[in-house]
Amino acid sequence: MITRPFSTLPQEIQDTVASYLNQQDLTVCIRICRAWNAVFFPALWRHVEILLDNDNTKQIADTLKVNGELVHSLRLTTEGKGLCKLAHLRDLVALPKLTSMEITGSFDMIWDEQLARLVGLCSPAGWKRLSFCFAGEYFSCLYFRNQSFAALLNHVNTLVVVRFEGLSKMNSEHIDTLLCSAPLLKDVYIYSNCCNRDFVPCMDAMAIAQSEWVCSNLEVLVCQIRGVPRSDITRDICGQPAHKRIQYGTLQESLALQHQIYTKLGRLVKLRELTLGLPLDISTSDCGPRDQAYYRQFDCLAMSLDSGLDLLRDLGRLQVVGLQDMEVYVDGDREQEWVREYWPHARIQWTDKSVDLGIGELWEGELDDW
Amino acid sequence: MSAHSQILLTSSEGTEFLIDRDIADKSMLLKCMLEDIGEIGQAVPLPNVSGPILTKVIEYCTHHRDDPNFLSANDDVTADIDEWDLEYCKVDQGTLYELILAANYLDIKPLMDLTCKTVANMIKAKSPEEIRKTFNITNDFTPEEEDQVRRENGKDWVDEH
Repeated sequence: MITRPFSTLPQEIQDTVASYLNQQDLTVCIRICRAWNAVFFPALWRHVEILLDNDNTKQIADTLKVNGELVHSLRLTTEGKGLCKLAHLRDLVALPKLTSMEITGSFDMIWDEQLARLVGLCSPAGWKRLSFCFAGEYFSCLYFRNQSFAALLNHVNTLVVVRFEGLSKMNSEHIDTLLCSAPLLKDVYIYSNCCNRDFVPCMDAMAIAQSEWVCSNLEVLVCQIRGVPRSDITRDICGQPAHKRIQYGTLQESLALQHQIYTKLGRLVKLRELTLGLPLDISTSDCGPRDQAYYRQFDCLAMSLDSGLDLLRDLGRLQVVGLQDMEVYVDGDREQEWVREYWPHARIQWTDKSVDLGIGELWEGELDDW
Repeated sequence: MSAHSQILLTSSEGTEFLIDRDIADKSMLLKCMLEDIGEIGQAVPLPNVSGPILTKVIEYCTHHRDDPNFLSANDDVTADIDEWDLEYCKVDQGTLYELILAANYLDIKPLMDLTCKTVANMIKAKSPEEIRKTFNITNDFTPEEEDQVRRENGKDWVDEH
């Protein structure tokens, strides 16, 4: 029996086979014969991983000009000024099929205008996935301001994943607008574990209380929500009376606001991860245990039944709840019982309150351990 | 509809196969068809699938009959193929292609993924010469062309990690 050649199989099948091959395998495949070259060349360019350093920016941009129309997804690993240079290139062309970009590594400051150009790299089809993940050094920070946000807003109907991991400057209003206008969003991760609050984007509770989020398919939400008056906290914080550190309102105001926020979150019934706080990184720069106490989130949701935690009872799919370095009471007896009942699969992460002594001991474990 | 109902299929040569409804439901094509038009009591003709291949497809669906993760079984690109599936795919290349085509036509995604993964594994980590031998391909590039393809695939700067 003569076997039909692989290159005559339907394209759908060839594409599936190609999807299981890595870049190196594909570079071999295009050398086999003319027919295989025709099959695998587009696959080779479908997903592109680039190591961007200080010197190769121009070369990469030129190659993208030739084969860029085949690129669907781009993963850039950057060093030094590479990314900055790329964003500066005058003849940077949009890639017609690009819908996914992931940028990792380290880079200099990326200003709003440059970031807007990178966001503009996408096809008219719209971004599905946009991810920035980089080392949390003070000198590398993304300025995601009005221009880049305006560029991103063109893609609200397609966006599924938005990740900003690392230092960035971003407005509460922008994050909220995104959640109010992108119905397909599944994964929103906007976080840095830097101690310095100025570089950790967050949503402001008062500002978002009235907005209507449309992202009902959201499965992962990682972002701080701050600005909650917490009149329930009366003890000293880092040697100062609490009212000197945190915004105060009446207990009623505090509860009313928390109810509004819980109600918003409570509608996101598909959530698998809800992280409102990650452990502060005190290992870098000049931060120490005292900073961990100082920068701890005090103006956050209290995550206690008294504050309205029960409004989150429909989030039964939760697997990860991140509440580290936050002033929360999810570890109370009643709360533990509630969690067991309504979030049966959830793994709760929080930090022990002994943080005030400068010793933040992470408690982490399965519910069964309680 | 009874849980034990059976469906009659006819292969391209006209051979009839009587299979349980839950086995037929592994094929999205058959499942949708049976849901749309109901069980008509007549044989469903499958002109694109030969008897030996249909036997093989039914063997796969029967083995994975009670698999709760059937539809997402081979989603993980990097996961290893399980032992039974590996043994199942030890067939000649012609049969493997026929299986892929049948899985594609009948819309049985896990079988399609498994068989395509098997073909990919025949390509992985091999030299061009080894691949040509495996797939019985004659190199129709001139040496200059092949050299050019190698040099100018343009992805020299690709991050190898």
